[in-house]
Amino acid sequence: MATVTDLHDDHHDHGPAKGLMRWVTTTNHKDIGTLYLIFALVMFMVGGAMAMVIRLELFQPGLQFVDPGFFNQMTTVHALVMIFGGVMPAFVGLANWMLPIMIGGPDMALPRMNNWSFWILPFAFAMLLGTFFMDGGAPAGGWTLYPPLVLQGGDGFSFMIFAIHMMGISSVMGAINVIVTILNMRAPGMTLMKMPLFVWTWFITAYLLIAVMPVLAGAVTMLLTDRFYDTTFFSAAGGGDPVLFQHIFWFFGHPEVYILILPAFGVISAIIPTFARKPLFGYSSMVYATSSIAFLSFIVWAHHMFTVGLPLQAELFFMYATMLIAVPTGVKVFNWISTMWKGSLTFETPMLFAIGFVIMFTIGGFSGLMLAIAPADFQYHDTYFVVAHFHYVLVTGAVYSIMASVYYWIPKWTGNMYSEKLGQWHFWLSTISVNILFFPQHFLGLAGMPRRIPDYSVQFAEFNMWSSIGGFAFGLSQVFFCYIVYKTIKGGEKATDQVWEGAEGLEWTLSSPPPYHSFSKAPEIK
Amino acid sequence: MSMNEQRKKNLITVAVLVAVALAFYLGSFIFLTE
Amino acid sequence: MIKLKQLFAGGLVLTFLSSVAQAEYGLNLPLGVTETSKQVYDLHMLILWVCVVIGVIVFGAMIYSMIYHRKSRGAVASQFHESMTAEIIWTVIPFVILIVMAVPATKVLIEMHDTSEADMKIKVTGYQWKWRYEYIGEGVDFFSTLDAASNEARKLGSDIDPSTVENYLLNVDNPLVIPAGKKVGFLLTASDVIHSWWVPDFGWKKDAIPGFVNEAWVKVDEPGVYRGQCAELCGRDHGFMPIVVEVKSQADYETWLAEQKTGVAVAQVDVLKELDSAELNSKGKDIYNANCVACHQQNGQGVPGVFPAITGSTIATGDINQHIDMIMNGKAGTAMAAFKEQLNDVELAAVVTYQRNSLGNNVGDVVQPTAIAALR
Repeated sequence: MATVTDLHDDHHDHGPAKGLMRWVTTTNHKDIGTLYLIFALVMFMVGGAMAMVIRLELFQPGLQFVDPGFFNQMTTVHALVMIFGGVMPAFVGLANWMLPIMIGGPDMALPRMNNWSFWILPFAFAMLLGTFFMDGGAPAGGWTLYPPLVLQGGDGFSFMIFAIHMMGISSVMGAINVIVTILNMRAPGMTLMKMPLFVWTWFITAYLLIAVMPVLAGAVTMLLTDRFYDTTFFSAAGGGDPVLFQHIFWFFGHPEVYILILPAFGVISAIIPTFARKPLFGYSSMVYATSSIAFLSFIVWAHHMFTVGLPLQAELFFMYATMLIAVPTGVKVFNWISTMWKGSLTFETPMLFAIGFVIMFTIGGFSGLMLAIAPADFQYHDTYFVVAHFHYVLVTGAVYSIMASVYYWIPKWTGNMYSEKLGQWHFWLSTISVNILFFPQHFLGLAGMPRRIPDYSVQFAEFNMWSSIGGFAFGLSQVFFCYIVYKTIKGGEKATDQVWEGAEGLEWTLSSPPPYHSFSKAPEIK
Repeated sequence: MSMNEQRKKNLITVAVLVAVALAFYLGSFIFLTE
Repeated sequence: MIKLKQLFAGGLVLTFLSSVAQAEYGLNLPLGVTETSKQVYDLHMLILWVCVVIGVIVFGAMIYSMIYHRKSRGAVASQFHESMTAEIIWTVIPFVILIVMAVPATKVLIEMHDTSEADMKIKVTGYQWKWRYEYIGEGVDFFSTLDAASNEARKLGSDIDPSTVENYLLNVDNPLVIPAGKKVGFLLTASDVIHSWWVPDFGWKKDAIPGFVNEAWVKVDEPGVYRGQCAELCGRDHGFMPIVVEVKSQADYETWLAEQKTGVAVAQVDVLKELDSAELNSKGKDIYNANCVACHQQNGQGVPGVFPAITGSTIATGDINQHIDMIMNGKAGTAMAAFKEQLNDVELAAVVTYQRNSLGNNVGDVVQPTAIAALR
């Protein structure tokens, strides 16, 4: 199925167009990858600023800084921006940069659609962030958009729905591009089971995206028609059910969190073998484990709904299925550790972030397993215990893998080495502060503090203060990261083609930086 | 294969995947609602 | 250097986790006061220890590897990269561990679902932003709102130190009162958006969903006061609608119940009286401060674009029946709730009168409780 021929007559070896229009009209996967990554970095800062407002208000008991309604806008938009504007575009940026190179292809299969997929995003987010200036303010019903509450929103509601539709279209087009590229554009000899794991994890993620983003679109369309066109999908008075929304939303929502983590698994699976100077342990197991996780992710959604009043049999089924996902996830962790075992390890910054990922994502996995136990979940649900869980898997999980990938591949992308000393500082400052930020939140949840509240009872004061201090420090550390990235792009010690002693894969056969068009002629696959 | 054949193959794959996406969208109305 | 930091970090985590076992430190789930809450606590501790043990083994292996397999120590990389045996072992063992955890979890869940043979039933309704408790068959029906002291202190810029307020944000004006030693059944619903009723000491929470009724039950053997909060985002004051349950001995409960019933009779007599303007405005001010200030603000100016002003509003200064209708029946699709169930005829008459004659308005008319009653 995979064939690619000479797509270029080399006589017009042009470089990229000049100026701003280069970036507006580019169909080059490297340029588009760069656009996505920079967009994601900016969105992380925007979402991070909102988190700073949240932690500022929660620093002490009592209401000091913001109206409770505005606080709800902060929590809602913080999540939407981080998930849809931060993590997802960052991973798409990595896919764009690396997938064509890793499979020995000339570019993504649909380069023009690739350009549209990206440029939808700044418009979608301008709309979403614009809602802060509208009557009624930004959406404030939580990123989970539960009706009837979400229907009480002001004008911002409609724009949020529109923005979500646009983000969904961007994601689906991107996912289609990924699948078509991987299926149809591999160099001869690059069989599926020879592809780097990062390609595999993105391949599977793309299928998840195509399946569930349309379901989210369906759910928000139903919200729109319930509000403006007199449907009653979610209103008991009309024969509908608010819980119906939750079923549809979480049918999207659960696979969505695997969409947020599978590419991370791929990145870690690239980095650890490099710095252990040892091949990835259990390649085929890793492929099967990832596929199992993806399949299982479709049948566990109601574990987000244990307290709505589901029938007993449903709660039992979803509890068992959710606990089951721990098995393939554990398999992956064991395989990474076996990769390290009896390797020859060095601890450059990418490896630090990768190891930090394995340890702290596993901690997030443990709290996830606890949440899976339905009767116990009745105590944890909608408390800070859940907040701690998902921030461990998303921040010290997904975001750490993204930072790891930037340190790992930026010498290749730019031709410049980042400063190892600064990278180490960034890692340690981040890791210490992120644990001070999120670990106490486990205790807050267990002690009884609910989520999404701007003020709390006095017994929660001490841990909230610690959490906020960690938050401010973590935020500052990420500003530092922006500086490191900027400095590296501007210049630094020149990188070799190989960059890392133990690195394997097609990207390291190209120059640093690679030519504007790599693999116009298919490489030889051994 | 030639560029045109490659392009055609790509577009057929796209069409299949778009159909899958649409099926999930419409399916969420038909099968996930009562 | 790196290994020392990681060992230190690991040690810290383990210290944390071991002190977690002390339920009273405020680090752990409470043991609670019901059979259910104790079972849930035991389940929680079981999984927690399983995770700690697995964590120690897994992180231990990583730390070992990071120390002994480093290149700077002279380690040379082996090249082994697969083992079917290993994959099978570390698939099967976790699977078995899961079954060990699923068995007690199933048992507890089944017991929690058994709402049969309750000694009494209470209907709990979530409102934005308060709870309503109706004792089925007893004629006792009241609202439970954040207490006044907390409500004052929590206002933005109040400058009141929360630690000076007793049970800050966990206190209400009218607590739920139930008898000890009896199985109390709950019917949970909501009037506007989804809320969730949670008392950690009872061991569970359940969502209150508009248009639907959820069932739950509790049996508390020890009299005492137990506090909880709304646990589903329900709008602006989600964090300000706590739950307080007073568990009394059977005798004390019966005394309390009798008092409630007498109170209901008195209130019913009240509504037939005619009140003068001063009384209406004065009472109206109290009602306004307790119910309307959250959105419409102390001065009646509202929040532009979010909550309309009462000062100069066409409704509050216009047709009096329209004004009454807005307050009694609310405005569908907005946060303006229907207050006809929440306030009695005297209270409604008073607050309408107050809004028309204060807050910058000066309409000059009054509403009597009998007029409200006629509109029900």
